[in-house]
Amino acid sequence: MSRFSDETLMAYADGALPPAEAAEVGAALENDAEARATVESFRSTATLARAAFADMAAEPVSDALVRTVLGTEAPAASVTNFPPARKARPPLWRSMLPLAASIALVLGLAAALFLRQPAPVLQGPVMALGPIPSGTALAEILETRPSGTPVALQERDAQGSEHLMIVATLRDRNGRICREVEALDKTMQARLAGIACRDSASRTWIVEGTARIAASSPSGGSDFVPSGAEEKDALEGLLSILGATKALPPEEEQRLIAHGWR
Amino acid sequence: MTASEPDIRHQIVALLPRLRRFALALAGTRDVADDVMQTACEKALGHLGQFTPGTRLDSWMFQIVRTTYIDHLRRNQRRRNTELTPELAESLPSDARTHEQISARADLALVRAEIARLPEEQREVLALVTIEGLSYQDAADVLGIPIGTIMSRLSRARKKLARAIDEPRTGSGPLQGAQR
Repeated sequence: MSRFSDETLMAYADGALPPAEAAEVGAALENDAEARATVESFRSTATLARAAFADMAAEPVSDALVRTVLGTEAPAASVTNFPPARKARPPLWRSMLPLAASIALVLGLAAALFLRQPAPVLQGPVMALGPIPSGTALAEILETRPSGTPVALQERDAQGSEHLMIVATLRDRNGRICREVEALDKTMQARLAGIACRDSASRTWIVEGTARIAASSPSGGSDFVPSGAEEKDALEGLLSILGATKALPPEEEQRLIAHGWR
Repeated sequence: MTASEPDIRHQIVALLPRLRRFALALAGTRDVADDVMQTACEKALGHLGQFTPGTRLDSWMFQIVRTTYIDHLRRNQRRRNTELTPELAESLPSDARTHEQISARADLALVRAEIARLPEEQREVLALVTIEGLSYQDAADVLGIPIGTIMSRLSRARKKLARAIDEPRTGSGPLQGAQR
């Protein structure tokens, strides 16, 4: 019988313990196979439950409901103000985009016209080179979220990133899982793109490269500042160095998420 | 900074996909979830004045969706069991629990079916904390119960879920009936 309660082991698995207590539990786990199994079981139920409902937030919300909330007849005027999708998408993940379109539209309705209340500001950038500490939004999103679904951050970073979205999942030439992720601003424009790969031994994600994407025209019109191409090229270059050239199909990605990337 | 009413309306629109997922996790069927969402949004709009600017709009909305769902349950108590299970189990192959090469989609349908079988009070905690990502404390605030209760309900829910997924179910539970 473990000296820790189920609740404590669950909080440990969820990253919800205060650091001192988490360290104590972590140390005790080394000699306690039963407690380790319990922690593992709590982790896997969380991953499964999240994966089971991951697609549901990407289902389109009915126009009628949006109109009810906005108190408007038809949101046509808002829709035309939604910034058009960025052009020059690499073909590799183009197939993933429709999934994002409906939710991006609904979020865009809110974001394109109105300033949201500013969220608390993170200390550093939302995505930085190197291992990603567990428990952060980025780590959670890489581990559990499907491609194409923007996730609103509780805290924006100083560069104005307010959402994260996985764009594609790939395998590099060593079979390692890598994901391309974008940080989006409040108008759902990508500001920063990065590649993170998963170290299966330590189950941590490591950011291998990032590229800043130039902001589009502030008027929200259809003309975009045509820069940012070389930054995107840098990521493309990184992907080809890694040997990660082909996006996994959504079903494969979903299966991997459900099984903790095994 | 006080948010104007149009501001709040647009913030609610941005929350709709998550709120609907929460309703779906509670209700188990899209029909019921969409009904609950419509009523909950009307309720929220009628009481926008009661929202305290500066507090969390998502918590406030989760609360309204949950009370709306409970109202719905009370009104439809007798119908509930018969309308809950079929949609959740529809994509579940009959040999899902014994077949080695279980597909991911059926696997996840199975998880949803097991979540639907949890007691109401455990399912709502699982939906808020695990699926929607609220902290234990935020979930405690939404549900108006102590954080210790959140943790015990959540750990019981997840143990039950783990057992249900690991061990093939035998006998004649409601799921068996739904599998035809």
